[in-house]
Amino acid sequence: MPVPAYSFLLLSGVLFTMGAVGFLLRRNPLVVFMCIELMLNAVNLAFVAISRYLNSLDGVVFAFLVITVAAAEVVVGIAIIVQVYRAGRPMDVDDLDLMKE
Amino acid sequence: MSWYTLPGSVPWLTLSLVIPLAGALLVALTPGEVRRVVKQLGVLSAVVTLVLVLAIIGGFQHGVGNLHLQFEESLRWIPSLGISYHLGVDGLSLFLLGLNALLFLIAIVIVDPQMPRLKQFILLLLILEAATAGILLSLDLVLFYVFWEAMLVPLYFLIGVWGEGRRVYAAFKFLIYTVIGSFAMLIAILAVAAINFSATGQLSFDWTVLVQHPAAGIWHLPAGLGTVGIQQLLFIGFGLAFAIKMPIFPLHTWLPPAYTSSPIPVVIVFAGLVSKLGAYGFLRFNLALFPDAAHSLGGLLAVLATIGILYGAFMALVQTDLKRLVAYASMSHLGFIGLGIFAGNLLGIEGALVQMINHGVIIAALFLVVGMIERRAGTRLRAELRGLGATAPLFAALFLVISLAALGLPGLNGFVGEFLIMLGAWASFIPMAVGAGIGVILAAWYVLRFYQGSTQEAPPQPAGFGELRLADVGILTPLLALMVLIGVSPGFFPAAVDATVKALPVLLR
Amino acid sequence: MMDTLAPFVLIAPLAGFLVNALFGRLLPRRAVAWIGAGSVGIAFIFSVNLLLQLLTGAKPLDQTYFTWWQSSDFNVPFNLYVDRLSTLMVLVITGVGFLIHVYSIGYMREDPGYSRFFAYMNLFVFAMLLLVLSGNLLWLIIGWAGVGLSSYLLIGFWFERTSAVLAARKAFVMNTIGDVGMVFAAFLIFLNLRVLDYQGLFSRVHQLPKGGSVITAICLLLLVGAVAKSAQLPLHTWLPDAMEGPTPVSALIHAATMVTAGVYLVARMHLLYDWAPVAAATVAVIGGVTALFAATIGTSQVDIKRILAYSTMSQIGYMFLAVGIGAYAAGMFHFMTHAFFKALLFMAAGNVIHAFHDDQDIRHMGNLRAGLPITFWTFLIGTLSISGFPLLAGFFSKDEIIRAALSAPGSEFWLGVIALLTAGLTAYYMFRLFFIAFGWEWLSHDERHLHEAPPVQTVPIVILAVGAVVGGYVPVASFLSPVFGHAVEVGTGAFIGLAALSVLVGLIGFLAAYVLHARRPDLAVVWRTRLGPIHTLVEHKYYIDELYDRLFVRPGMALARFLNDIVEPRVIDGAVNGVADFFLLEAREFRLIQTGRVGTYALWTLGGAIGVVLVVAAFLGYLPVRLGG
Repeated sequence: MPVPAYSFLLLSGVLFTMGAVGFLLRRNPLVVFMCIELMLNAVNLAFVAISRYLNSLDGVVFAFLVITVAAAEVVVGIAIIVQVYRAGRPMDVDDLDLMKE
Repeated sequence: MSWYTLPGSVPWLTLSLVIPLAGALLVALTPGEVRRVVKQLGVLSAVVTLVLVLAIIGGFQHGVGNLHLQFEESLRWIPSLGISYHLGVDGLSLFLLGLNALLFLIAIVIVDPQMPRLKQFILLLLILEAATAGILLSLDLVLFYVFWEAMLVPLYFLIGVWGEGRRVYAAFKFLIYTVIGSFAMLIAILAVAAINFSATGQLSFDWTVLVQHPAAGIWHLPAGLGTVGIQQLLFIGFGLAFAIKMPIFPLHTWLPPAYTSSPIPVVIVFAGLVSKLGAYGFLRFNLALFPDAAHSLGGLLAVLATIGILYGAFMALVQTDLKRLVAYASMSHLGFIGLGIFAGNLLGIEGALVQMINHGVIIAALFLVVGMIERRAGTRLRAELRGLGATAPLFAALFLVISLAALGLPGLNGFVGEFLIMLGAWASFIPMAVGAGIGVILAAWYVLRFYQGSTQEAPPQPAGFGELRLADVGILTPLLALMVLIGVSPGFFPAAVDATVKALPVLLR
Repeated sequence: MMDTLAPFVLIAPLAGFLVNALFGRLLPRRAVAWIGAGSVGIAFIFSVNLLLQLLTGAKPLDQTYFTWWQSSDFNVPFNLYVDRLSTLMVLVITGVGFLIHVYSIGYMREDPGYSRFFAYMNLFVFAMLLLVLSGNLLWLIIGWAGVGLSSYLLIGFWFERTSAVLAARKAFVMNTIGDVGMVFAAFLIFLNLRVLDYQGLFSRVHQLPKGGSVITAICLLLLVGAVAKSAQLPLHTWLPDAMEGPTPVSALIHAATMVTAGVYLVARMHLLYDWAPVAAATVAVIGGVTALFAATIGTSQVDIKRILAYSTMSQIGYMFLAVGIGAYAAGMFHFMTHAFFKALLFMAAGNVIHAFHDDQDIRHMGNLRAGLPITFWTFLIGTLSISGFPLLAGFFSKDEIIRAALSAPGSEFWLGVIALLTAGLTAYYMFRLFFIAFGWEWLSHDERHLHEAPPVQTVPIVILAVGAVVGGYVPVASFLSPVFGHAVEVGTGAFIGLAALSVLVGLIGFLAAYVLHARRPDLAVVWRTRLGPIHTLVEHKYYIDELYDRLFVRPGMALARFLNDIVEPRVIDGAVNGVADFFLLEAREFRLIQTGRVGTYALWTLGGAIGVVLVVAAFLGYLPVRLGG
């Protein structure tokens, strides 16, 4: 019995909401980062599910693209976090507001 | 009129873009400490480019080719969007291309090898040369836009880094002005392509495709905006970018600070060439793509151009800084070019074309003279200069010829353009021609104040103004030769450009 | 034959100019002098050859040498047009010009700018010949501006003097006004007749309605150029100042040749002026008024060269009067004789000025017969000739003009009366100059040790003096009859009657000068005070310089300063910077959004995303609110 498409979307939506709420509320940069990954993967899930549902490969291609971007982003992001850590700044995203003005 | 035929298999125009860039690359790879080599590499690439461009001019044939374009090159670039790498040269761009190569050579030759960051300076000049040549050669609107923007970057740094006085302010003001115009042009470019697409189902940014359409009448869209039609809006979109670059009154206030702040090698190409690209843009795009709008808006622009002539002349009359004086003189002369273009008839446009060359030659020479005065006398304030001719008669003599060309003395090149422009203007709008005539009289006044004020009367004691060296004479010689040649026998000019100008849509409608 | 010969008339002085300009400082002075004078002499020989060919029946030449600009029907060649009129001009220019060049060899011998001087002089001769020989309006304008340029250069020759610099600039700018007028005339001609060359112009001019607005406008615009170049009212103020130049320059350019270019222009375009009677009348009135006007000023000046300059203006006024009433041959006749005696007067004055170490005030001179005998006698001949002494050159040519004016039908009669009056004034101011500067009591002994000029300076003057005596017998009118047609014959009775009248008027002028300045100088003082305000007015040249200064120069500079100080920084740039300031102000408030905290940005992003979703949903109809169609 095939699982209906909306259940995938539901799961995707739940995961995305978790990611978004986590991103807004948590302060540790690493956790924030993981929340971003959660949101991206939620979107990936939706892409793949719809792709299967529509019998088209477009969504899968997009999912691959997202995975690639996510990987690149992690590289840059982790590097920044490490630099911030080395600079001795507190590991709290709310205190990192040097970009103001 | 062509002395020989160049083999068609060689991409001549691409070469003229690539050689300065290759020179720039070589300069970039050379260590900055070997100043002699850096400068010589720059000079070498400029010389090669000039030779190549002269070969192209010599091989240009009168009235040959599709739309009179020659040496065309076309490569697919972004085919799905109808964008291509399309180069070509015709009567509008031919001699400007030569002016480009000549002025850049002079600019690089006069660079002081001891200046700070010499390597970067030469590098940026060479990149600028490629960009300006690209503007003249592009036949694809997107390609043109890319070169148009690419020109800004080196220019911004050349003024902002090596300039003098309030150089950052000047560079920034120039940048903001220009970018505003560029965005208007970008929107207009996209709109042109979109309109063409909706009418023909073919997406193309190619000038040779789009220029056919005024004749086919597809710009006659319902004028839903009252008296302002779509064609007028597009004309204004392109025109804003070009009017700022020229500049046309009252969009000129970036010019005096920018020219005054630029180092002499930069201001030579800036005033001598870049300003002409605005005028070229008007001819290439506004008059070719939107002939009806050119007719309906030409009168207004001719009025602005005439105001620019008189305004620049009056401003030049009271300037105390020679560089600023020449800057306003340049503005006044550009008003003539604008007037010729917007007169919208054969003689006016041909006059504007020849005056573009003349203006480049004259203004470059005037700025060279200002540079020589400043280097020798240590000042360029009019009040502190007098009697330079007493110890430097050769300098005074050459300066005199340049001044006379600048004030439009019949027999030198400035007169040729001014005569034709005023004749064209007279045929279209007599009051504008009269205004330009008053501008000629004022030019005699301010140029002589400039010339006599600095070279004549009794020199201060001790008179320490040194005579020209051979190198200085050598730099001025090609410009002086052009002044006399174009002034006495300009017949070669219409022989080359006539066919192109006659085919301009603005003349056909 | 003529087509190859004609360019050489031009090439000789051009070559002289180029050699002296480029290499003059390297050459010995002798070589410079030889090249300078010799090139004009060669040109003279060529032009005599042209004359001989025309006299032996050659047709006028119109030869094209190259194309200047060709585009559609705008076709301007470089062509030379040699007919009897231009040949007469060429002969006077090169002939008198050669004598003045020879004179300059002596006059300028101690000047450090020797080669520069000869280069400029040769440039002038070249440009003047180009002006005269050109076969189309465009090259006429080029020559026209070329003589203006060399005039400018030579007025400002001693460029270390501020007054010379200012005088040169004034001359150039005023001549530019004339140039612009000529250029506009060329525009009207081209746009209405589609030609710029003389042959085409003369054959098509009758297509325009006679006396219509177009032809009148053309002729009046040409007149602007002529008036500026020939120093006629109202563009005359540069000529007296132009006396700042070396004296040979005043003789060549500001007396004999260049300033008569306006007369040549009207004569050359006589078909046009015949077709525009109003414009022709304007020419005549300007000429007559200027003749009288300048003569009155001439009576009150004390600078020897300025008196001669006003005299020149006045004499050119005669020529304008002549060509304006259609007596073209008479105008050209007077041009020729005037070239003789005025060049003579200037060069003789130059000798006097040298003898007095560059002092030009006539009140400091006097009693020159013993010291400068040749100069003295030749100057007297020139004075007699210009005053219309019977049977001298000026007598014939001036009488012909007065006669033409008096015998013309209609209101030209009054111009003839003015001309007659001016003749009397001419005799007065010339003899006033002569009596004051050269003296009446002819001393046999002179302790001032004045030195007569060397032969190189006196021989040319003597030759010109011969011309000033016998020049009246040259049959100019019949020589020019192929160009202008035959002049109306005047009966012998009328001829003698008018001659007697003008001699009488001249005699009155002479006697006035004799009484006031030779016999009873105290009377002159009495009259000067009696005429008080009038004398001041005349002495200050009717305050026209001051008037122009108030009307044009100062308002122009004031406007320029106003634009520079107020309009540019406050209005135009003010508007531009105002826009920038506005955005800066707004940006300062929007900047508060940028807290720098990631959380805030994320919240905005989320809110934006939800907003987009809602809008899309509304478009698609999933929400109770409907958007779009």
